[in-house]
Amino acid sequence: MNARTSFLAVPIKARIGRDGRLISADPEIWRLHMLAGGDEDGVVSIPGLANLAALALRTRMRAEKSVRAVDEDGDVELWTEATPFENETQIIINGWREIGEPLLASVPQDELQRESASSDRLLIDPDLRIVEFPASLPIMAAGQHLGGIFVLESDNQGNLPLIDALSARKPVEGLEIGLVGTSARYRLDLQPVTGPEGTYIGHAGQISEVAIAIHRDPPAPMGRQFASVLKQPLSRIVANAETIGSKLHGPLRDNYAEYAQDIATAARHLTELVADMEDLEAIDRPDFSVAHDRIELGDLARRVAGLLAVKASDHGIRIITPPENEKVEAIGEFRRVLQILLNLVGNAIRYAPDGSTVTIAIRRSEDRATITIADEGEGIAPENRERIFEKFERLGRSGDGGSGLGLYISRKLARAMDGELTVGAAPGGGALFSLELPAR
Amino acid sequence: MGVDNPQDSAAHADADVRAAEALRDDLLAVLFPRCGALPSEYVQSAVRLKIQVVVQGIERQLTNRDGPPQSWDALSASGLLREPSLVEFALARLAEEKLKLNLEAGGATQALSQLPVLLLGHENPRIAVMARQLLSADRSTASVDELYRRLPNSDLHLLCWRVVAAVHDVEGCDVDAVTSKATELLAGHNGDSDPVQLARKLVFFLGPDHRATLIDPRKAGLHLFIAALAQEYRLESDLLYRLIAGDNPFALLLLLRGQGLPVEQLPSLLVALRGGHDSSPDIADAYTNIDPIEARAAISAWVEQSP
Repeated sequence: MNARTSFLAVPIKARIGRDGRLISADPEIWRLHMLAGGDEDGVVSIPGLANLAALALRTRMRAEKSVRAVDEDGDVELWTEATPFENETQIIINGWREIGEPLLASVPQDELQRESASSDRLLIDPDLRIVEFPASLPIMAAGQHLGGIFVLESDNQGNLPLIDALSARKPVEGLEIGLVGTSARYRLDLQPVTGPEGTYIGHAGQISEVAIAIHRDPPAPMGRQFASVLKQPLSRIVANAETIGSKLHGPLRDNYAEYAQDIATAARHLTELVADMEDLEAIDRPDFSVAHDRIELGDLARRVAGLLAVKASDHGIRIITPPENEKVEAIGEFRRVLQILLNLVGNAIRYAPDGSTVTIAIRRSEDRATITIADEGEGIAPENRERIFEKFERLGRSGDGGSGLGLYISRKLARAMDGELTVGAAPGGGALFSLELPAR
Repeated sequence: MGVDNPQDSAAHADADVRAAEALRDDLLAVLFPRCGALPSEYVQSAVRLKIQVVVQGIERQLTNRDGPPQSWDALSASGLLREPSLVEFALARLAEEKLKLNLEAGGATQALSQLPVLLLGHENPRIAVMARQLLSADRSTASVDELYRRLPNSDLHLLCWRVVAAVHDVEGCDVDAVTSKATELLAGHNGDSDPVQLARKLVFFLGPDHRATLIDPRKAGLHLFIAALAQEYRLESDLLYRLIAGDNPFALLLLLRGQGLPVEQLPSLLVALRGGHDSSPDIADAYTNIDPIEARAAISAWVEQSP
């Protein structure tokens, strides 16, 4: 990440009283103030801002300098002007710089990597950046911020034990933690380190993978809890928005009715995302397993076509399914295969041109059963045919309601059933997805 | 012990010299409380002169009168030379002058030679304006009369009102007129006359652009070079001027090593900044032996220790 600097086209403003309280402020300053632990009628909680305002008021002179503040994704520097008035200081922020990578030519990456490779230890500097990281671990962490590497998990009281220990400069002993993008668990043992003059220069220690055999209790199903909490209010939003949009309670201006439909659509997308997140957590857990049902792929194809018929007809898309008499039996979990097919056919409807055809076909070859979905869209370029199965990969698309998780989850599910999900080119140039399962 | 005895007289003299030296050291420790090593007499005189020039500039603005400052004796007697922030300001300006001279002697035609000039044509007009202000401030504040304009706000505020009080005390002049002038001077002060402050602003808005240039004072100019290091390490610019111009080159080596400057570029950069006094091969060896991570850690300790 680069340190990005921007001139603000519209300056951010605030007024700070003689007593140091925020009289008024634009939302960005309120947000930083609250993030720094301030309250709505309290003294400004961003120290640099409070000092600058006090200096301007005390000396009756305009002052400007960069002020550092804590933001959600790291520190930011704000180029800030303070102009004194009778009993208050006017604050104007003209520039905003996200602090990421160092501004100047930083220590070359190869130096950092050499440092990392030369040691098994983990070293975190006072700015919570990773200085050394064992090369044996499946992630390049040197130079990155702590939050981008470790999954910062809260304890039962909602505290973040790792952050709390580092900020209090206390030892971290036996803390289990996850690495971003991996499902494995790691144990941290870190001690605060001081320099020659006794100044704190960071935390150093060991990081080691926790063996599955001695794994502690399974991770709490946060996603499931999260999903159950969100699904109900989302359903209510969808229902109420639909009711308003359909004018069941009386006449409504057309544009308001459209807004209500937009709200319902957005809430539905959010519901799908919540469901995806729930699945994502489930399939990434080490104890995830699938049932081995006897399933018939032709039957599943027709069910999917039925479920998506309305959506397809909205776009004038025709779904061709295998004839009733064609049957291919396979082994897999019924609802998971249905989920994969709904995702694949749903994508085909979403991305294929209106009025086109989506074809579902089934076949058997030796001990494998295959179901394919072909559309008449633009297809997937060969270089992207693996990328699209990566987590959150959207191939540059946005705003279509997709989460970038569907294909990742589908492939994971397919593999969990001893199958495979791949993509190639359909005869007409569109995408051809193939789900292969053990045949029965 | 009789005074007629030459040996006794010598012993007396020796004791007096020791007492005088101890007294001098005590006084210097008061005047320069944060210096690790006591400054030379040349530095002491130069600091005194700088502060006097600052006072003269302010007094001239307030009284419209040329000549030596009338307020000086009263101010120096009242402990002005013991104000750490003023002493540090003066030391930083001395260091800045030394570095500029070295850069000019080392072949960089002027301290502000290239980047600020290039930035005059920057596509973003606000960057171009800042570059113009920086060039202009560097020229105008070269005049000793304008030195007071570079004081940090809190010091200018403090000194201005002390001068007002001293002028009134010494001359019994129209205090209202002087007060009014002082209010005017402070209200009109906006920091746009200080190249150090302007360079910090310009570096802030340049963001990651011009990284390679900023780390080379011959290309970036002294102020932008210092400002970039100051922003990177979160240190005060004035502290960096002093560290880099100091007798020991180690601070500069740490600062550059922490930025990963290739060792091949070190000798010419040292010559440019420090006038060729540190061109021995040992310096390059010392540089390569510094661990970049430890360099940054050591510099972080300076940040913690700086006020």
